[in-house]
Amino acid sequence: MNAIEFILAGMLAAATPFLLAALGELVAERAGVLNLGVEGLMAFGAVLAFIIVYQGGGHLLGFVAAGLGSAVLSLLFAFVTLGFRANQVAAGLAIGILGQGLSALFGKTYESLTVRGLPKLALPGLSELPVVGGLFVRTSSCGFHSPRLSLCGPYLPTPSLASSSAPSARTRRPLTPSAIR
Amino acid sequence: MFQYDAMVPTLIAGTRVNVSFLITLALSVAAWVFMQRSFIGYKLQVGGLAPRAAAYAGFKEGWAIWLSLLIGGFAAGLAGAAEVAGPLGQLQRSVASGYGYAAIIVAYLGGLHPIGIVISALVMAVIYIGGDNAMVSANLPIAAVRVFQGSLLLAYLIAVAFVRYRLEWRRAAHRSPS
Repeated sequence: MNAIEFILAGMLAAATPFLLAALGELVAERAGVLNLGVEGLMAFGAVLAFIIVYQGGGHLLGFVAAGLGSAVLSLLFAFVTLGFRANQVAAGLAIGILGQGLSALFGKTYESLTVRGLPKLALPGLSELPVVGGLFVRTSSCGFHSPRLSLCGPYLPTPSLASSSAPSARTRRPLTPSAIR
Repeated sequence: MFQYDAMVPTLIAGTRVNVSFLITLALSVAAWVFMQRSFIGYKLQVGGLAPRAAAYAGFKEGWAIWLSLLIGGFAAGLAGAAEVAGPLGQLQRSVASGYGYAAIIVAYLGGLHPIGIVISALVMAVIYIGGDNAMVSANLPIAAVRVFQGSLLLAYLIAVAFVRYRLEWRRAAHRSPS
């Protein structure tokens, strides 16, 4: 395997987390929310998935738990920024710190353990191609689903008034600006 | 490891407070004067608040971006130098990791005001020092300290909302707005 093949083989595997995380950020940005806590959300999801799989829950359950767990953490971000109108940059970075701390705390006892990874996917026809074949061997099955997910991206509706403080999304507003400020 | 001569002199004997703290305070005041009292600072502020108004007034946008990025880079580089030549005293593989992100939080907590961020930097320092102390005295892992810091920051951000807004309980549609 020469250098180009080696790089190509690692490319899809390395691109998968970027693609998935960027997909989540894309949805948030389209809705007018700047989420800087993606790093923490990813770390939290990774630790959740690892714990589930290590305890024998299976890969699918691990994926679902990781997504739901990070979504709950993301809900906290929404609670702070949308519910309390806190600054999105500061709250996002705080969520990032919190997520990384939570993942390190939960994952402490699982350090340097290994689990059975996702099965390597080798597509029958494509894997035998001369140069780009390696591109299709080393990726896990997760990598093949993420481009499909990202196809939905361009079709998301763009809000006409891209702002988190747009009041139309909420029927009841618990916080009303005081007369002074 | 740095030579003793290469290090920033300590301000209070026996502590890690050094001259760079005074430099920082002086620079904060200088930044306030620059942003609030000088014409260049005024042009930068107008460019940030209302870019089209700045363009209409003939303030050059590219020049403002260059200047503000240069000042930002200058301050960040000074922060790194002060940390290495002050409390650390040596070059490590990772110097002050996570401080940049913390500094962004500090800037926003301080309301993007040169004097406000002095106060918010002290608040952030208390959170960091408290975390370190808890790690040593209560034998907590560093991860628990990070969790503590993150949740404390979130609680602080929520508390800021109560400063800026007044909470009103109202039954929808039954009472006429007072």
